[in-house]
Amino acid sequence: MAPSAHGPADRDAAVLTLTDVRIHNDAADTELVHGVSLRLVRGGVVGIVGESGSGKSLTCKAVLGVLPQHVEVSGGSIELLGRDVAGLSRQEWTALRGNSISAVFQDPASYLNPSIRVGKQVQEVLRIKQGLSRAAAKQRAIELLDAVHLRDPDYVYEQYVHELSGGMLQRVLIAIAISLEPEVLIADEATTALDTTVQAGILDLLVELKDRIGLSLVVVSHDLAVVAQLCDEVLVMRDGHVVEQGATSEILHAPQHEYTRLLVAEHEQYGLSGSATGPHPPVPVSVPASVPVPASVPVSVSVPEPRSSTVPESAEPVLRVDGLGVHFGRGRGRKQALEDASLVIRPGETVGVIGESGAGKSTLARAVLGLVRVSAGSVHVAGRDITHLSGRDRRAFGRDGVVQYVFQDPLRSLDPEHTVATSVAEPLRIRGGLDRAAIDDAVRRQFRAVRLDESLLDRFPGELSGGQRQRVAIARALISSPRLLILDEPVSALDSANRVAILELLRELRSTIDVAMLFISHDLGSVAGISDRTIVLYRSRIVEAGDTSRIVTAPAHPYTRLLVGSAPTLSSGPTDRVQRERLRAGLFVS
Amino acid sequence: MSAPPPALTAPPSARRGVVAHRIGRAVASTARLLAIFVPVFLLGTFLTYLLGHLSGRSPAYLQLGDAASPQAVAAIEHKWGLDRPFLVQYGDWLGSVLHGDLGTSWYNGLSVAHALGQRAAITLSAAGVALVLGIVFGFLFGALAAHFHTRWPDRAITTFTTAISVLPPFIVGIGLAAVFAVGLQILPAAGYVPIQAGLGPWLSHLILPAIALSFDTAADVARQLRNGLVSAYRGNYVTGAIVRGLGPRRIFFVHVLRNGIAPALAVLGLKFPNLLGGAVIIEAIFGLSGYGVYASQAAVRGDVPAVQGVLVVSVILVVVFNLLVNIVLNRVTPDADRGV
Repeated sequence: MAPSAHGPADRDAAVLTLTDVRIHNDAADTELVHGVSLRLVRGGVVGIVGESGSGKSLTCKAVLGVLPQHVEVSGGSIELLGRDVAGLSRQEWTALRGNSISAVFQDPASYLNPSIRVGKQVQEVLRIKQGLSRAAAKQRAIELLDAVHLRDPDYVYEQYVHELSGGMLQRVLIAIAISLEPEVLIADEATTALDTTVQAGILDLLVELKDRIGLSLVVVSHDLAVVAQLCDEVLVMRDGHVVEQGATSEILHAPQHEYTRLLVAEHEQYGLSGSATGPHPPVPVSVPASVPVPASVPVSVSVPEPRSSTVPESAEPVLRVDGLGVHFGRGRGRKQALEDASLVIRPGETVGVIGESGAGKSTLARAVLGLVRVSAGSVHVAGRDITHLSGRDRRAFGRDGVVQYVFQDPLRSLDPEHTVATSVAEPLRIRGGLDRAAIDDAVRRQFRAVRLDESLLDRFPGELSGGQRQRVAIARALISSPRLLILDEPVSALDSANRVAILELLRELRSTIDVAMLFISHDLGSVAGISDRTIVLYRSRIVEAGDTSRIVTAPAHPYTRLLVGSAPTLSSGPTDRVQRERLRAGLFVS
Repeated sequence: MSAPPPALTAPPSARRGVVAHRIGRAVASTARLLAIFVPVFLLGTFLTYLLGHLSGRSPAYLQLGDAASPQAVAAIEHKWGLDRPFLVQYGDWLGSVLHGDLGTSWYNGLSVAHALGQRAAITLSAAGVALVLGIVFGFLFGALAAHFHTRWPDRAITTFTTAISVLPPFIVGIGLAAVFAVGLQILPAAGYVPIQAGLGPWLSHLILPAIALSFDTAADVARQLRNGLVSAYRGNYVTGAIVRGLGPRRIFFVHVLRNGIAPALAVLGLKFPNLLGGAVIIEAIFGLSGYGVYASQAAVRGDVPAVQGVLVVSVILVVVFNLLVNIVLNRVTPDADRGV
């Protein structure tokens, strides 16, 4: 049981204090974190923002005493509940963890034992640490699963990790983390890689737990908006340095450091602000005149200008999908991956596809490419029915390069053994008819078009940054002058700066060359920032389609409204939470 | 009251179905294993019988020698039923095998099943003790090496297991006999005493051949277990368990061992045939009249029913052992329950 005799005098007592904490890698003799100081008061929330490698996760690991081998705290002090953790023995650490401090991380599935039912793992902690009997521990475990709003806790209790979704698993992990009523909970990228709507649910749960059981939270994320939503105080980290630290509102509205400004700007350009789910006045902003701020914050939805020069309605569509159905498996294992999907993309148009994982986004793209068997409906590309091409026709169609594809992870979609120039040239070489010099010329032209320096031509993918690699992938896709470019989560694996840069590039390419785009993403901000029209997929069906500005400002379907309301923004308040709860309830009924 | 969760992709409520579903799945996975067992058994016996048939051996030459007249050969082959079509002979033989009748030796006319039954006890004793030694020492060394990962005990164990895994059992056997039986004279060099005569004498006769046989198994199990445990220790769920405040012992036994043991168990399934095969040589060195010696003698004599009998028993032993390994594997790591 956690000591709970905290009088009102303790209200402002710090539960966790870091004083100039430095972390050093002894094997490489380099300092990884150059001094982090923070003070977390009871019931408070401190956020740490930064990209991978910034030292934010190492700082958390130091607080939990789980730094990797050869990495140790080389300076400063960490005080947990008034106690310096530096001299703790292994037994003392074991007693402290779980009881006073706990944590949840990114990729919840990997943080549970795959061979033991999840309920047993909740029960285990209660049995071992609190000495409860099996029956009592099980009962308490089910109460905890209920407390984190898992529908049907008895059912969840009996499942294995591979039988539950990421959002459900994160709830299970939160249930374990709070089971011994610790004072401090560290949420290290706890919602990263979850669907937007699921992420909002987890964040709402953390806020609720903080209020209900008096948790103090350390929230770590690469996403400024996630941290902004929850935290009173924010630390911005980069390369092991705290570049900016202060109250959340100050950081958001008057960012001092260049990097913080970049993070804020990203949300202005490719984020959503405010809430479309209900009336929600923007946070009043007072920007000191001395601070150069790019634009007023928060911004309204940034949707591309409706391009007046669009092709006439009568033009033959680049892509026409009619009543498309795709299913996998058969009999009882049959799963409908896409049902009755219809859409049209005209020349030069950009259409966004958004939906949670498993909604059928990639299935749609793969059906257009002929990579999956279509069970109903038809696909026409540039007027040609390609639904049921024979193997040979399919290959010929592929060689023509009318439709090209850009994957999420450029490192895995580029051959690591080929120079990037070779990879980009490949679509031309397999078509034949061009000599070496002509191909070389075309590759250089493509490199310039995607703003890559020609000095990178002979590099291997492993030698380039993530953003450069994705430019290479786009160059390879564009070299065969496709009519349609399918981009499947092209910016999801990139960090903030590169995400913005790639989206800018795509916007630019769209205006300079005549190519239509099908832009798939789970991130509404990216989709809204680039698409003329947007299609919303939910549970294998298109539930809404229309002009992007309309979808974002006046979503009709409950799922779209939840999605718009869930997008992390730099300014959102408790009203949104209530709205979301209502929408979730509505979706369950329907 | 709390509002419903946002788990939009949650499976439908199926509380009542859970138990039935679990039982159904256990039955299904066992049925799947059996479905593998039957074709493997049929194919194994078929190939076994086909090999005997293709060898062109006949009891006539064994009994009559070179001076046999064609009529006498035909008479004897008719007596043994060898003039019938191959598939009829196979069906007949398989039927008897299923009833526990492995036929009659061409060499001495005795029941193969009976002769094997007596000798199998010796071989299985040696292989069984070797298996136990291999498991015990393999797991001990593997767990120690993983625990002291990259430190000197790990390196010492890795060197040792690499060295012993390349020593053939007959070399080890001769070496052991030279040291413990001839040099120190604390263990018998040859012979076999049934277990009914006492556990001590039985074990003292078996221990040297069993040790010789077990080296390879112990080394491979140790190496697989070490690697399995080391990679399991890298799992995030171990970090998760530490953060929850579980102690190192519990983390090892409950979380790491369970997820790191699968490769070692799988290797055990592969090693079992080696133990049976190695017994042939080891029995010759230690003067055990086990089934390995019986097999080699029968093969030299061209006693086809005896060789077939040995092979059928081996096939059954190996397949049953692998079946057990797979059932254990499915129980230990249910997430890997995707058939054999």
